[in-house]
Amino acid sequence: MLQIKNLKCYYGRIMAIKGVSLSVRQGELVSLIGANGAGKSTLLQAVCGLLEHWEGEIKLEGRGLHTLDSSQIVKNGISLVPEGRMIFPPLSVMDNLKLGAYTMYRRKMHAEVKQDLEMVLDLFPVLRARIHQAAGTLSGGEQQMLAIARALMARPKLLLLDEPSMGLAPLLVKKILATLVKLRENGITILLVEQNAQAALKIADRGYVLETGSVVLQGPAEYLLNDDEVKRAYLGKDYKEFYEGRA
Amino acid sequence: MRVEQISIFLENKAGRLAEVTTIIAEAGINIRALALADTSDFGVLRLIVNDNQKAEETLKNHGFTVGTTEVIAVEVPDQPGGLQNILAILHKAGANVEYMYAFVQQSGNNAVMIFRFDHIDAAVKILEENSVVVIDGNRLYSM
Amino acid sequence: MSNLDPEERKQLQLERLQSTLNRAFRNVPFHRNRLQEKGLEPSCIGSVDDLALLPFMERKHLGEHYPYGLFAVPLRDIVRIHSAPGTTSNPTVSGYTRQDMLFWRQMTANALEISGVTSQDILQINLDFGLANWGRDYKDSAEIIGAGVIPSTTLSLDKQLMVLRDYKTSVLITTPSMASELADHMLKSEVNPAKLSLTTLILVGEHVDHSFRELIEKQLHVKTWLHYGLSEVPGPAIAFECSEHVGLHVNEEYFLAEIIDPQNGRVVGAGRAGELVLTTLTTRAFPLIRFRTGDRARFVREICPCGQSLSRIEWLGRRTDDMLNIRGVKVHQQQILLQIKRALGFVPDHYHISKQQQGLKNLLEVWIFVDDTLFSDEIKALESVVKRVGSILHENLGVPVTIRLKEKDSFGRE
Repeated sequence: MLQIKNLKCYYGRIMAIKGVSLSVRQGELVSLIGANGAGKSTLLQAVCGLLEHWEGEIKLEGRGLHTLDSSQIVKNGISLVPEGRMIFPPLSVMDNLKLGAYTMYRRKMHAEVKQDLEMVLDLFPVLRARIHQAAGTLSGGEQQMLAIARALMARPKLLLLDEPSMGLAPLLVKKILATLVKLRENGITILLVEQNAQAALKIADRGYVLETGSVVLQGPAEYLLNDDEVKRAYLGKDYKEFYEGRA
Repeated sequence: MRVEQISIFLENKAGRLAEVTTIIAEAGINIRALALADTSDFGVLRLIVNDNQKAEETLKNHGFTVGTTEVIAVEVPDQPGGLQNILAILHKAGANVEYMYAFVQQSGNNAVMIFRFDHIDAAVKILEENSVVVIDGNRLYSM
Repeated sequence: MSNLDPEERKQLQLERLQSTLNRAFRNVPFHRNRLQEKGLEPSCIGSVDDLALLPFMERKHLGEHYPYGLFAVPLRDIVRIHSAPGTTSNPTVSGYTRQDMLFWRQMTANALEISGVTSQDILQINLDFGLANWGRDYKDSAEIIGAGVIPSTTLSLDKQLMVLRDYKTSVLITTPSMASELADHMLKSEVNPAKLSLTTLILVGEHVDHSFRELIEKQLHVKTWLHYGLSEVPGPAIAFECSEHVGLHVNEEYFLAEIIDPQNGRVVGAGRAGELVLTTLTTRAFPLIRFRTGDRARFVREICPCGQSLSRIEWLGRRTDDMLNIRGVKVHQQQILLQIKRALGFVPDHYHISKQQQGLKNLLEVWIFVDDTLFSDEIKALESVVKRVGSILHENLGVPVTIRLKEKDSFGRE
């Protein structure tokens, strides 16, 4: 579905992404892991049309994205759950969600929006409980769920998530990632960018490891989880505990 | 005391042996004793001639690989057990015979055997101590 | 069977190529230096076609960085180490990580399945110790499929025949040389091939021509399948036959194959013959970048009726370098001379190295000139020379050798 070929991104004269090729096939959950500063967020921004200067090729379902601006990209079926959630604190949960569906409204698909609202509230019951609360009063985990739900309202073909685990307790992280698995089962294609490598690889089909702007490893997620180098560099001493569900 | 033997490396090819003897004959050299040891691939031809230097030179000029070895000529009583007796003496003293073959001429009433030993001096000593006659090389060439 | 469409496959190849280059560049000084010498960086390679910008790797490089200079991962991640005779005095040492082993097994298992191997088969492996690495990979893959495996061991022909017959082997993996030895032996021992359970013969390591295959298929009542691999690194089944038996499908998701003109190094036009060059896409421990195999081949352009979209190559007989392929093991003339020197203390003035074709078998034969230094009046001394040189060569090259002592005369006639 998504094909990135030889992407190069610059911050001024510095090449932040040095020729990265990456793909996400229909129905896959792909995780992109790497340390801080590796360039993961930059890559997502390029895909969403939020970066001014980039070279290479980004195609969604065979169609190049380089001529499109970010709103058009959303219309084409890509939805981003940004780092730091970026929900609108003064607005209610309901309004946040409706905002996420703005492309649907423009296409006058009101009935569908109603359907989708029900769907996401089923997915995240805690949001239903707080549907009229101001988004700013929600806990970190609830806000993350709201951000995902909002992104889903646009009926994306491809869902991009930028570090959803940031600042969240391990138990919540598990919950949220479990939701992603559910979404994938319902046919949504997902590209997950994460610093929490073990969590991200555990739910993924395939993974890419980004290091200072280049992909140094990729393959089936299972392989990466068992890879000695990945274990040393990214899985840390906590991975064993996480695996056994104790974290 | 020692006898110089010429040894020649030969591939197991038809006619090679005849070539060697022809070359030697044409050089006017006389072969006094001859023995051929062979494997399936190659052989070593051992010769006692009356002019070692000439033989070696001639053969080398014809492209053969030639070596010289010191051997011993021993008088063997021409009677049953004559050889066996000598071999027993050597065996008892622990002298190892690498190979041996007969010399064409007789020495009086005795046969002559050429012996190759690992340790030639020790072997000569043992034989002489046991009254076995070792024929001097110079005498041998002109027998 | 690969289920990617050509577009997806190209993307996959590009991704894998780029990550291989990034890792090689970062972790292996040899690769980094060579790229930098040309003013290149991995980010300069933006498509699979850009591969042509990169320098070639040759066999000599493998020996030059003995033992671990070309490893792209820390030693502690290596789970298997393999040596093969190289072109210099050092053998080629290659390594595998756990992931490499997994990929190899998958690739080889896939090739075996296409040859019709199932869990119902009894599979026997007969390979010289020079190809022991392949023996292990085939064993592991066959186990994955669930076939009953009789691993490779050094047995006399008689014993091999006994196993073949009594253990009801249905699939035999071996080199063409060994297959023909076995067939001959069967004739001599009056074992009727039709009475064997053998149905499938997988031939590896050496090129065979059509007439050989027809003959051996008739003699042994089997179907033959051809696999192509590298003996030094990384292993077997880099390319394999499908049921069409026209050319070998290259495992393109794991390797990039190019055909170049060995004289000028340029990629030849589609379908033309040249030297096969391979680049590994998934190998972690020991990446090969544009490795010149020395094997002659050409791409088969037509789409294969079997349905596999992987490109096919036709493996042609002659080699493009001065390596001898003896029973599947690549041996360089230089190596042979080096070992002779070790055995004798010097290199003889005259020598002759050749691959002897005895019917369908091939053997390595070395002629040595017996000069004054080597010559002795004692047969046993000469025989020990033959034995010593023969055993040192065998030990270091992994193939049996026949040593012949020769007069100077024999060398004039070459």
